[in-house]
Amino acid sequence: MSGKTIPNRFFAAVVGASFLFLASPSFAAASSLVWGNVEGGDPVRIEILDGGTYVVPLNTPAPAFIDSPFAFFDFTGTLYRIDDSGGTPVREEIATINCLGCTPESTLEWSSAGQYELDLPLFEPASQNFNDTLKRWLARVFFAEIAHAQIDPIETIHFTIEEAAAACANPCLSSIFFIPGFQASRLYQGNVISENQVWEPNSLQSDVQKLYLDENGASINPTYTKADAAIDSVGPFFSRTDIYRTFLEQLGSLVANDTIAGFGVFPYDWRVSVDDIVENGTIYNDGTHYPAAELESLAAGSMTGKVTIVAHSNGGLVAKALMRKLEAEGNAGLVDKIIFVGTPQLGTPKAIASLLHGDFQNIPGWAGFLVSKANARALGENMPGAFGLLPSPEYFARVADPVVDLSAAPALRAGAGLSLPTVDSAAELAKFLTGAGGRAQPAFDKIEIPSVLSSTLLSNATALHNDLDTWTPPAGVEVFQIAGWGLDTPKNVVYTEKRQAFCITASCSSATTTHHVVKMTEDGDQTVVSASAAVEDTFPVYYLNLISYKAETRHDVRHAYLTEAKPFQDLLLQLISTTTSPILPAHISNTRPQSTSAEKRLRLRVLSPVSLDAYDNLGNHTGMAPNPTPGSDLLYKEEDIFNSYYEEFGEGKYLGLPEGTYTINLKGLAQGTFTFEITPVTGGIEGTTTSYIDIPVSVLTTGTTTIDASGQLGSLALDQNGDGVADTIITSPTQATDPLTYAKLIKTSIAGMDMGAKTKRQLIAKFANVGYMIAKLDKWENEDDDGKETNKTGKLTERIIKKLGKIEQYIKKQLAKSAPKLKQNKVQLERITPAQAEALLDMLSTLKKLVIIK
Amino acid sequence: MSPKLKRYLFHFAQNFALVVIAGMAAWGVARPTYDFFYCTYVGPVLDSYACQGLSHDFGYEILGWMIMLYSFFVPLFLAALGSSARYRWIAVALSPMPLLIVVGLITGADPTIVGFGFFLGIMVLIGLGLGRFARKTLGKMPSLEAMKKYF
Repeated sequence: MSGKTIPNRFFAAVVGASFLFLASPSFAAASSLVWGNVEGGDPVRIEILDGGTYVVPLNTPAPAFIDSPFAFFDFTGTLYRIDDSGGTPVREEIATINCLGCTPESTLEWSSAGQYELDLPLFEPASQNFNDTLKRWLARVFFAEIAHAQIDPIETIHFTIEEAAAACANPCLSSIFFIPGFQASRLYQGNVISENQVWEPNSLQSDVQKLYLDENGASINPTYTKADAAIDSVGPFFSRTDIYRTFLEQLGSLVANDTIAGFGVFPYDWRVSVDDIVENGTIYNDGTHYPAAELESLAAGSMTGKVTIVAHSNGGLVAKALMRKLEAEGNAGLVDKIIFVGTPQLGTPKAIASLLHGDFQNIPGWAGFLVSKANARALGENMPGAFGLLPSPEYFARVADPVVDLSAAPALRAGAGLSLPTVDSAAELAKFLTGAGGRAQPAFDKIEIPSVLSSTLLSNATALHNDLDTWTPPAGVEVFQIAGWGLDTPKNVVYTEKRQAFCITASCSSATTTHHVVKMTEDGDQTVVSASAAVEDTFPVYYLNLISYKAETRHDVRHAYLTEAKPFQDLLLQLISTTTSPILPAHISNTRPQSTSAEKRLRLRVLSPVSLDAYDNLGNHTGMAPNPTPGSDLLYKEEDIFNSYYEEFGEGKYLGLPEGTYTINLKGLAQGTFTFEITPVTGGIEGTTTSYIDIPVSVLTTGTTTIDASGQLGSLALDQNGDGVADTIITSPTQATDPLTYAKLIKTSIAGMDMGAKTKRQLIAKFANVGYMIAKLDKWENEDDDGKETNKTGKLTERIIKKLGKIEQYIKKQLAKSAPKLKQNKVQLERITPAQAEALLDMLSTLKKLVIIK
Repeated sequence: MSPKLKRYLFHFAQNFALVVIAGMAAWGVARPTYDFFYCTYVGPVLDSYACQGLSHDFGYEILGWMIMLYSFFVPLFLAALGSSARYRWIAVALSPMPLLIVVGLITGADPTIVGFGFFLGIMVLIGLGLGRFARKTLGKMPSLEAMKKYF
């Protein structure tokens, strides 16, 4: 073999190989854009081909080049973003990219997701692909004549870019944006030199008065909050209650151990409407802060480029309004999850009692030194934020229970322009709250009379709820609801009215008085009923059983600090993570916990002035008992019957008993009338209430009744003169409404009163006469009706009413003459005391009603 | 220093120390007795919803109980162990209480403040009664000098 032949043979081999190579099907591959770092780098290298969709981290620069079959000479491509926001797609040039091996190398970062196009010069043959160094060298040798000749037409690569999670440690979690609840942000007035913290209040009444708003819902005094004003804990230094302290510490530790990149808290002026907070921001000490801007800023630094919103209580309504805004701005993609914690999504009945009476808002509850009920009510009257917590139309669509019961308050019903006795629709509630029937605004300190609320603020709140209650999360946003469960939570307000006589030394007058009690359900967290916090058919629900949690840990967690519960904090870790655990933390369930009163229970209630005691078959007692401490006159509560309770709220005394057989004792504590009710409760649902209404009572009166195993109430034996023998036996509640029985009750009640002998004789005789007339009335009514009786009974009824009127005059006259007089050096017994007169006049009023109804 | 002044200062220090101890006792006793005593027997009488978590208490619920306990311990300690002018000291040490009620009424606190004042009065009377009883009992015990003669 000669030296010449080797190069020739080598050249021939190369040419042959090149032709074989060029003819092979592998050349058919198209051009592509390559972006990213070599293997192991970040972001990982990807090859972008025509028609593809690629997930990339945004705003991350990385090397880029065009890989083409003709990359053996230098050329550039032009990258365009397709902007179709205006309806018509418009190409927007964003970069030029060099070819593989070109100098300099290109660097590219994707600033936004969307459609892109890359224009490349098209060479012939377009289908050939030289994709390794050898092939490119061979091509340079054989196709040098077409180098640098960029020939039309242009080849265009179309592709889509989607945003991906930025590189982060595993697991890659979003930053957390926390929105606190109602009244959970501190508020300040004044300036840096003389700053005054007005919430939580620390001076007698004046702080809360400084928070008043005008009738348009605008703050009268300039008020601001601060970035660190979410209340961590409250109270005097020796007895502080954690509100968000451990929760904020938990968020801090998540950042410290690199689980999340950061967290933000958005304190706000909770007095204003949630949409106002979102649209107009909230004033901080360093200017106005907008939740949307704060969220966007947090998202920019998040590992995922997104944020998880955790919203407590009213913060959940802020979160919904915020999502509406983000959606309108096209930024809803910045949120990946929303976790509502005890959010009154549909409002809550507690707000009714608070706005109308200042209930639950006075501080402290025992005297209202810092905030009285009257001031709390005055603050709420113009507070759009509080109006947003009232039950919304959607609440009534989901909850059957009425929120206001006016069955025993006809004047209030008329004042609200309502025809039905209960309020179970948004329209009826609006009428009641605004006094649509002409109810007058009560005096500032008359807190027992319901306030008249602003119809403008109410309609604004209704419109807001109509919007928020229909909110559905955009695609890609997960929503979770956490509801506290098991604590007595206000579910409705029951009003009663009574024509009450007011007697002073020598004269009497009468007026209608209004009273209210707040009825409770265990289906809530003491503020928000779970029907509102957990709207079951919308998003996943988690119930936090606060009763079982307290029983196990003695940690008393309520609505205001649900986030302090350990199970909540454990659940939060699960919810923010990328993987879901099938095992929920203790005391958390996806289904509503079983009622603690799944078995049948009895709720007994008396309205003063009587004591209420229950005894079981073994003689165990529940009720008030003599204090065992010698010398102490403080009341002592005994709850010896298993699983029973005894409470006194306002004028009422309440007793709860498990199913069983009991003896119930009632003992008069003062002159007056009492009402006794028993309600069976099965599985937390109340049955029909049986009532003995307006029974006359004095300090000598004792009453005894029984409850059998089926929960039926036995007859009520009343001993009205204290001789230990039953004077009257009322066999059923309906019998107590029989006028004749009631007249007899009054008569025996008078017999037991300590009053002037002559007056007592006269009164007994007068009521005996009335009793006789009523008996006659009964007799005539029972006779066969030949048409004449109707006229006769009508006249007799008139006579009875007239007689009762005369008795009323007699009582008032006797009271006027009752001033104690010295006669023959002896102090004479009063003819009648003001208390006795009051009680008798009330009984007369009831008897009149019963005769008229008959 | 004259003996009279010395005696006066001693009495002052003794009574002052008892008032401070009463305050500390109120502080120490309030927390452990709050749930089972205040929430059961006292709070519900003043506020239908006491201790139920329905209201904001901001920690002032327990402060109310602490004030009541202070009103109990001051007369108890001073009546039992106080030096001369002890009743005047009781009056002075408790003078903020009626002031509190009056200021509360003037500034527009809830009417239940009267009930709070009533409870304060009861506590003072119980404390006073027990203090006087304790003083009499202690007075009947042999003095330290007398005991030294025997032991």
